[in-house]
Amino acid sequence: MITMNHSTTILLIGDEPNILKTLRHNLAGRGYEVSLALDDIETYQMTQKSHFDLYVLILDFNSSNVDGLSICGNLRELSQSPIIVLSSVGSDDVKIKALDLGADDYLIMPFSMEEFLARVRSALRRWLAYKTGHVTQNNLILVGSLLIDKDARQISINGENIRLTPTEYDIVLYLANRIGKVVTHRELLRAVWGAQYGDEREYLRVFISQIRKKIEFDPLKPRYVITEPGVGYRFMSDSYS
Amino acid sequence: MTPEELLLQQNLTLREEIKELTAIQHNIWKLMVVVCRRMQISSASVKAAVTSLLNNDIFWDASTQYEFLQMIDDSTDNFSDLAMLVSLVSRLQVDKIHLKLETQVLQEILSKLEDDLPHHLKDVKLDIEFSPELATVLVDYEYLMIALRLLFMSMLGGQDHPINVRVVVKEMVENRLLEIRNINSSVHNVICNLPESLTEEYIKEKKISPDKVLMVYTAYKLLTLQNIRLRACLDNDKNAMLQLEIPFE
Repeated sequence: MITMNHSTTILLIGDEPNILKTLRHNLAGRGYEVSLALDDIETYQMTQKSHFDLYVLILDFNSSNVDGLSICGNLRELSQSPIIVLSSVGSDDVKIKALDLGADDYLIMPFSMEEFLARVRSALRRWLAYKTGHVTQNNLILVGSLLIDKDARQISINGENIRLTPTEYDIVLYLANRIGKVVTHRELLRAVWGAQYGDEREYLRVFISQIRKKIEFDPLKPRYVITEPGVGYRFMSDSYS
Repeated sequence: MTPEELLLQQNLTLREEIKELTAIQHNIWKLMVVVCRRMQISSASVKAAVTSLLNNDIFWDASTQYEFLQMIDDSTDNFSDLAMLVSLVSRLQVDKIHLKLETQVLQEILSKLEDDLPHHLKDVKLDIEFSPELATVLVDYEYLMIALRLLFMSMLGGQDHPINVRVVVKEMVENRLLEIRNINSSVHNVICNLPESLTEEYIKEKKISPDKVLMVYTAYKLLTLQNIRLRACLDNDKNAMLQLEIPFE
């Protein structure tokens, strides 16, 4: 379990009172500072007013004029903090849509509280590592024209900084640390999302596609992140290819 | 019109009717999907509360434990109401509702409804007024109860303050007239606009909950099967009300 300080803030978004109450009790009982937003307007107002380390969004709104997916997309524009989506919809296309719009994790209802709390810890672990950074020596990786500065958790291409989300950065770093080697889907999911993951290949599809849009010259003909069909991904540079 | 032309005309009318019915069926299935998701959310509430209580790493004080138990109670009630709705709609869709029309006393049905409603709707009180002493009606006792319960749940579900609903029964020449007064205008509009009110566009535009629309539709169908006419209209003070014309023979 990671150590949380008391200022770790979480915004719960949704309009299903019983689930919101249960989540709030569980999170507050474990030392997180929890706020509630009951619709899209409240979510945006609260996000503009305060900073949150994590968003937990219940995608299914009772009110038919609030769209959970739009909230997810707009939140990603407003903040880089991780977003965990909870939904009764288990279909791949909605899951992919949510991840595509910026969600970091997707949990299908019903779920056990232990599983939910594990996902919260995992998302916060990545976010806190991203916020604080790990300072060590020899923390630069240069792959062709792509430079990864581990101290700053920053990636640049030809000196130009690339804006990656914390999860995207973790994926690139994990692959770049194993340059030339095939990393399986399961290994990558476990390394980035946590030990309880392994079958969520659609997460990788979405994130790798976003990463390619940001770091590849031509995302359709990737030079750095190569797909190993049915197996996983391989990070390459010109000298390895 | 020649016999061929007449046949052609009938054929065209039938095709139009089939098209309309197919569209209605499609909309009902879409609403069913939403209701099933609501059921999943209710079961998620139960699971979340139960697994919270089972967690050993945290101590819940008595009031929080009570709150979790109350959530479980609420959510299981909600789940069973939705399960009943899904079962009814499914049976209506495949014509598996078997009615037994018998002479019943309307006062008895309403008094049973009065006892039954608090299990589904908190803080709702019926204020029933009869003009005839014993109003007999020709209905299926069980399905009339269900239809009335669904109407009340669609009108009053989610209400967060105590409410009194006035129900008036009048004896007419051809039927008994049951009036439910001062109702929610959105339910009134759903009834007036059936079957258009089953569409996604209507639900979004009017900001109505899809499960309430499905409840109204199901009640309407159950009443129609018993030859009961459901009308949404306005009283003298322009307040929305429902009228049920119930046959007595």
